[in-house]
Amino acid sequence: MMPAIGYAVRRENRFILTDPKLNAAEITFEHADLPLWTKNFIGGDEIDYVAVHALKLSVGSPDPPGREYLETLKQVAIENNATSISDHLGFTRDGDDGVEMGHFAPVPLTPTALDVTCRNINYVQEFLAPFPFYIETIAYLFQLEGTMTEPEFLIEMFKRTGCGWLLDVTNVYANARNFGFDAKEFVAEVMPHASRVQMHLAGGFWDEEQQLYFDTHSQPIPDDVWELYEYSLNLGKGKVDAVFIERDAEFPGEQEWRRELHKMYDIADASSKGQAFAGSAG
Amino acid sequence: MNLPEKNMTEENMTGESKPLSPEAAEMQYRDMIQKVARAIAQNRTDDVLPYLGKKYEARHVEMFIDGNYDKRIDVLIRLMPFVSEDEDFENFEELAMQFADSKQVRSYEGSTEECDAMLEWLEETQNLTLEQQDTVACQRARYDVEHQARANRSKHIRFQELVTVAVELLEQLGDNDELTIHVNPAVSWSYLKSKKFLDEDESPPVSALYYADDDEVRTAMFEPAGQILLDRLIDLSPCHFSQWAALADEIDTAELKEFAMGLTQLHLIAFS
Repeated sequence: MMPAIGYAVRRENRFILTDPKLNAAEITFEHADLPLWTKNFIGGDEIDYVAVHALKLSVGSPDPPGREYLETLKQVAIENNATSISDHLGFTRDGDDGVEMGHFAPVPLTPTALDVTCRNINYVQEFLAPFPFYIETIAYLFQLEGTMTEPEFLIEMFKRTGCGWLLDVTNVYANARNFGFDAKEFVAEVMPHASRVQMHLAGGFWDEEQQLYFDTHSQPIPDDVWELYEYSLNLGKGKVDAVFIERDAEFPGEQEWRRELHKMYDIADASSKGQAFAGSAG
Repeated sequence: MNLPEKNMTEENMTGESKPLSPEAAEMQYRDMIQKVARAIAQNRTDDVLPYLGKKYEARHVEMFIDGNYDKRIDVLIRLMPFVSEDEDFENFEELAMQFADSKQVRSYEGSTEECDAMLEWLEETQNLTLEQQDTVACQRARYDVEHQARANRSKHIRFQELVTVAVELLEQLGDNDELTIHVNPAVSWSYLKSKKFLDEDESPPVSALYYADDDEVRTAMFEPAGQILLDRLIDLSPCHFSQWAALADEIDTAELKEFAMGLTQLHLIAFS
């Protein structure tokens, strides 16, 4: 099965929605919630697979996500003829009457965090039905002390919730490079336990001073990420629904936008046919 | 004590330890998330470090906090263009940093709410000139229009559809008793106190109406008499022309029709 292929839609890349190799688009909920717009965010372009990507469900918070936020999220999904909805495995706030941190921090890998996260994901899935829900594994600069490995946490989470896995290939690459584990082993351990999969690809940079890879969505996708993408596609054959490239800064010219899209398509095409990708790694 | 869950036990009177109940473990989890989230929201690492995984250092948390802070300032600059690009707010970035240092973002506050909170903070803490007050009022009214369009989304979409045939139906106003007048559901009034946004021949204070027109926010200025007429219509809407005319006894029907024509051209009223 060939996954749907697309971009996370930004103002700078809307032109690419008509590319013949693109049949999917991911829209960020916080961008698509444009109250004055009378048309949907995708704007009438014919896209087979539309994913709505949220930022503030905060499934690791002790309180469940707010109804108003969920209702608006679902409404945006309906208006855009969405196929699926996703958010991140993390927390952005402490609770209903608390504070927002701005960006999601990773949940501690503990049984209690697992209980809370699964309860929230199940609540979200029930609310957003019939839209399938995917949870993205994030890139982190730190983790809180835990008692489980990340794969152990994810495997149990998929078992208890049945939600899909939004495998951000670059996030896994960054975490593995920054904190010393094997990215392929991580994917191989988790992939069999996810029932449905979406993927993100992006490019960041290596900071020599900090000795850290930052997933900034501002650079071309590195060769190692392309290789991990191909590896993940082969492992997830038959259950990868859609793959998206994210780019949020230092936007390239049209040719580069198309080059990465076509490469993502060609690798998925080769994988679906059981072939190795014959193109250049770069 | 801040301990990971493998050590989450409580001691009984004989010194033996037993695992925490699920309820107690969740209370402990809630407490930890609250401390971590509030510390990060206040740009502090102190309450995060006791919970930090062994592989990680304070600098990792500091980088996360710095990244969040920079993004917050970027959003304030980008989403408040009416203020941040205004010549009367040349030090906007500095003000945004002062605001971010003093106010945390409340749960579920989106970018608009946060920008609105900064407008309130500007009014409370800065000695704004009349010109600056007008800029703040304009930005706030724009957020209010967006808020109303979001809260009344189906009415907003329906009204914008009606606008497309409003000029044609205007000809029937006063003659067709069945014709219903609809007022734009996404409107917000403010008062301009300075001459900053006024034409040469206008003097403050002037009532300004902000309203949704397709996917833009537009502005219209009204004399006091015009504002009274429009406010009456807003209270009545949806209504027939005769109902509005009955309350507008200070002007004759022809003048009211002319006023309605102006509102139609501005996309403030439409008909069905």
